[in-house]
Parts: sequence; C-alpha cells; structure tokens
Amino acid sequence: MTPDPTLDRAGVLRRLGNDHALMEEIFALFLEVTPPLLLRLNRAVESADLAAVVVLAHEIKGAAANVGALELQRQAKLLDASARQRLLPSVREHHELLRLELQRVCEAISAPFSPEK
Amino acid sequence: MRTLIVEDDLISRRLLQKMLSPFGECHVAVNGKEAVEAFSLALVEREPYDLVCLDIMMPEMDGQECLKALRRIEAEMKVPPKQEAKIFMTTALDSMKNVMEAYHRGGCTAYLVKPIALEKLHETLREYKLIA
Repeated sequence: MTPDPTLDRAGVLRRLGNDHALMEEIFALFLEVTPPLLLRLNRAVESADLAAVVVLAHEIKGAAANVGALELQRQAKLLDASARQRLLPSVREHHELLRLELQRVCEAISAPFSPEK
Repeated sequence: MRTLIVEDDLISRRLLQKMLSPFGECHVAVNGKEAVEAFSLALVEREPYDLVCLDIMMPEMDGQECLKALRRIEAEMKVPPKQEAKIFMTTALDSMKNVMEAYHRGGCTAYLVKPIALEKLHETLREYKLIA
C-alpha cells in the first residue's frame, strides 16, 4: 500500500513497534512544537534571514520525519536547500508550500483516525 | 544500562527516552555543552554512562565536536578501552557524510538513522551487548 504522503500513520506505527499511545504522544508533541516554529520561520522569511531559515527548516524537517509527514519533510528539505543557496524567490515559494502542507498535517493529526484511509 | 541522550529536537528526544527507558536510567542533554558536563560528572561520580545517543547536527557544539570531547574526557580520566561508553550517532539520511567522518576519525560505535525505528534500535543495542 502506498503511504499517505501527508501523514503515514501506518509507517509511524511500524517504526514505533505498534505502540499507539507513543504515536499519539508524538503527534501531540508535533502539534505543540510546530506552530511556534512556523511563526519563527515566517519572520525569518519576511526579514530574509536565510541562516535562520536553514535552522528552522531543519527543525521542521526533523519533526515531520518523526510523525511520518513525508511531503512536509520533502518541502522542508527543499526550503533548506533554497536557503543554503541563497535563492530568495525560491525560499518564498517553498515557504508558502511548506506552510500549506503543515496545515494539512495538523488537520490530519487532529482528524478522527479511520484505519481504512 | 545508563544512557545519555543528546538531542536538540524535542520530539526525537522524547522518542528516544521512551524507547530506552525500559532498559534503565535515561538522562537528556539538549546540546553538546550540556552533554560534556553530564558525561564528565557521571565519570567523576563513578556512575558512567553505558550508552550515549548523540545527534550529529546541533547548534553550539555539534555531534562531531561533542564526540571528540567525550572520548578526550575518557582518555584524560584513563577509562580502560573496554569500559568506554558506547556512542551511537543519530542522523538523518541526508547527513550520512558526517556519520562516515565520525567513523573514520574514530570514536563512534554505531549510527542510527532518524527517524529512529524501535526494532533497529533494539537490534543495535543487542549487537553491542547493551541488552540481552
């Protein structure tokens, strides 16, 4: 079965030895830590502080990997790469895509879980 | 087994703590500087860590620098090679180059790719005889 790129619950569960409680705890932590990270990222992009963008994209990438947010992880990686190359238009573009994907991930985590999905 | 988890990312830190706490006491450090302090103190108090899980990419003192510092402390305190802590570097796949450097320069026991998988962690702990 192809993993859900927004939130690969099945993959996370496999990785955590089928520990549902731990998965839920990690999801809750994700919902807690990412909004402040996004706020800081928004400010860094606005002020074209590319060094800060690299650090924050790295942090979001790590958080995304832990919750199986594959597309968010990919977007954070692209943002990180653009910031390292100092490509400001590309940074802005990937920042916007990341912001939208992060919203999707948060919604998917908060939505009632239906195993057949 | 006494473990020191060195990780700046809250979620990864919590995960490792949950995965390792069934095997004994786990302490956490959020950067290399804190790790060096905790590691030294543990040796001075004769309660050394058996395992250190060390993130490669951290602000201030990164994993590479921290690894060197921990091995230097053991050498200064004349810890016999067999009693040295096992140090597992933790890294995302895109920073594998850093891990290989840690291997080649010595001092790193093993590496774990993040996000950490429970089964792989157990397998590595068994491989280095940290658990039965």
